[in-house]
Amino acid sequence: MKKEIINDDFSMVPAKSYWSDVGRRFLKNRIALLGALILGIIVFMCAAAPLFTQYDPVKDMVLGDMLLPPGTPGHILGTDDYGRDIFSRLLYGGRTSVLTGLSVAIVSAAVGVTLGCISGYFGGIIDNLIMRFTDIMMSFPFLIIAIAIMAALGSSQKNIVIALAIVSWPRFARLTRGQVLSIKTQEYVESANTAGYSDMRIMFNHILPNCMGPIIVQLTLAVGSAILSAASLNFLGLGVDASLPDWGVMLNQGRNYLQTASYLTTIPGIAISLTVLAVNWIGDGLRDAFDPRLRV
Amino acid sequence: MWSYIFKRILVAIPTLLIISFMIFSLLYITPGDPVLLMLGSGDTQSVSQEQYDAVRAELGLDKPFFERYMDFITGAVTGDLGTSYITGEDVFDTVMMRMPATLILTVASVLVGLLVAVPLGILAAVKHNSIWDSIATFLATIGVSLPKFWFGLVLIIYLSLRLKIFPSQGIAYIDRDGLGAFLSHLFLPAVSLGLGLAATQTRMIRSSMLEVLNQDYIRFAKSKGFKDKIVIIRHAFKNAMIPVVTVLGSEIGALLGGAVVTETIFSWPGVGRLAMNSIARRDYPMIQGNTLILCAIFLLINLFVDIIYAWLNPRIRLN
Repeated sequence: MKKEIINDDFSMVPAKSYWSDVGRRFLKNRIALLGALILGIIVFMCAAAPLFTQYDPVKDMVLGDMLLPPGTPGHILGTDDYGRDIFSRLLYGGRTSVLTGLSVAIVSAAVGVTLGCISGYFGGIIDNLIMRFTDIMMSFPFLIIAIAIMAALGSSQKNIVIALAIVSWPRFARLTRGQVLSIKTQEYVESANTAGYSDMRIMFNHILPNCMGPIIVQLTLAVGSAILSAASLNFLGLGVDASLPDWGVMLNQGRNYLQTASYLTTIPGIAISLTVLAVNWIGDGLRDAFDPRLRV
Repeated sequence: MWSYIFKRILVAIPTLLIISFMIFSLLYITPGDPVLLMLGSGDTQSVSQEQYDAVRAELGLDKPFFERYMDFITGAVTGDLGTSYITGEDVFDTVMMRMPATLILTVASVLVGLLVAVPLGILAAVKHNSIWDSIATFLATIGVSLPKFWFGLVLIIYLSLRLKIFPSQGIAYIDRDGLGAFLSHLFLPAVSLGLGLAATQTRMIRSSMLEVLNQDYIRFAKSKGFKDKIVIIRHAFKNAMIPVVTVLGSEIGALLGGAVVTETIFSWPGVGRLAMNSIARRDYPMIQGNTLILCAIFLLINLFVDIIYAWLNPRIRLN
């Protein structure tokens, strides 16, 4: 059956669903669309890297071609201190950086949303325990804890994701709990309760879908901040293997050539900034699109 | 007020205990044998069993996990965080010796951040939906999106290496090198570290001011014929700062973390660089003590911010 709503003049028009309404408002936001376009291009170029460059980012070292400046024929962005093509390292490095950002956001959202949902739904002592723990986790300088975790676990891409997820799930937990608390008292949840549905079913089928808006916004912004934090860890040499292409690792390499080859530093930094800026624009756009106060 | 302060301190203690336990267990599970590290040897072959056992007992590693944690905690309370595996220096003293440099950098970057954010945020809110508002919001989003350490590197490339306006490395002290040298060494690290704060606070002050400017008492003040400037500064700004102050506490946590990276870039002799050096040398007591002290200082700052907040806003402390 098609849903319909009644207009002021009693004519029937098809009801707009919540999600199509959100989508419509997002598409009207020019900055958010620009962000989506930029991110789309970056992700496509990184994913389809072999289409754009014939150089291998790790193996193709030409010792005679070290530190060629950008614009050199054959090497559009120049070469690094091992004679490797920077454009190629940038594209393959983007895979590592963007994937790390995405993984951190998804893992911390999965943990945080689950805990927040349980906390808000059951209340009482469970809520108290989970929220005290969340507060404690949030009351620490997160990069310092992440650095300590990396020092203990050792350097690898997997450990970066673990370390950053450990410090970033609490935001999701707090946010989700707040959402669940406000939705829990709605009539449709009470009626589902009366109908005898299980807690799990009410939590995941009835409550959670209705708190997705703010969670999606937070997820988007978390991708951006995870890319930045991972870049910091990699820059400090705590992250992935230094031979692997990664934007943070590239910045670390460039540090020794600030005077002679500053493009080794500027280029990957611009790539990180542009990606995170695009993600943040999308996040801001989504925030506005989900805002019920703007809903007409 | 005193009972509020007392309550907040009571909450901080278990928090500190849990974090100390986490830091302790983290380094407990770390691979690598501390005894061999202490003896400066990579394998068991070159060390005699007696020597090995002696160092193991000296470090207290022969005791069970929980007893070691209790030793660690009782030691920490009295300012004894053990000695470095590598240099044999007292951990607490070494960290505390480095702390002033980090605190100077943090305070300076808060000042830089607020000096940018307060005027920009107020301008954006007062001229809401104008070109100024768009520019301020745009700058703030860019500021959030740049890696701060990269911004620091770019500052070094252009302002130190090319234009030679500021030194790129190290610290200067007022009593030894004079105020000019002190400030010129401080400038680039503080700007690079303060960028993130400037960006988040601009957004925060803007939205907080927008909310306050729509309140009845502001309209009332305006209708009484006060000049706009006076209304904005005396009436709106003070109230708009309340939410801003709360965020500042947790922002300082981000600054302390950022300080690790910033200090590495600018060779700033603070605890951040100490942390990185200790990690490179796998000096676990130093990493452990360093992290714990930074967390404790951060808690202390937050406690302080909360007390100021309660003092500004009586509704909080009476609740």
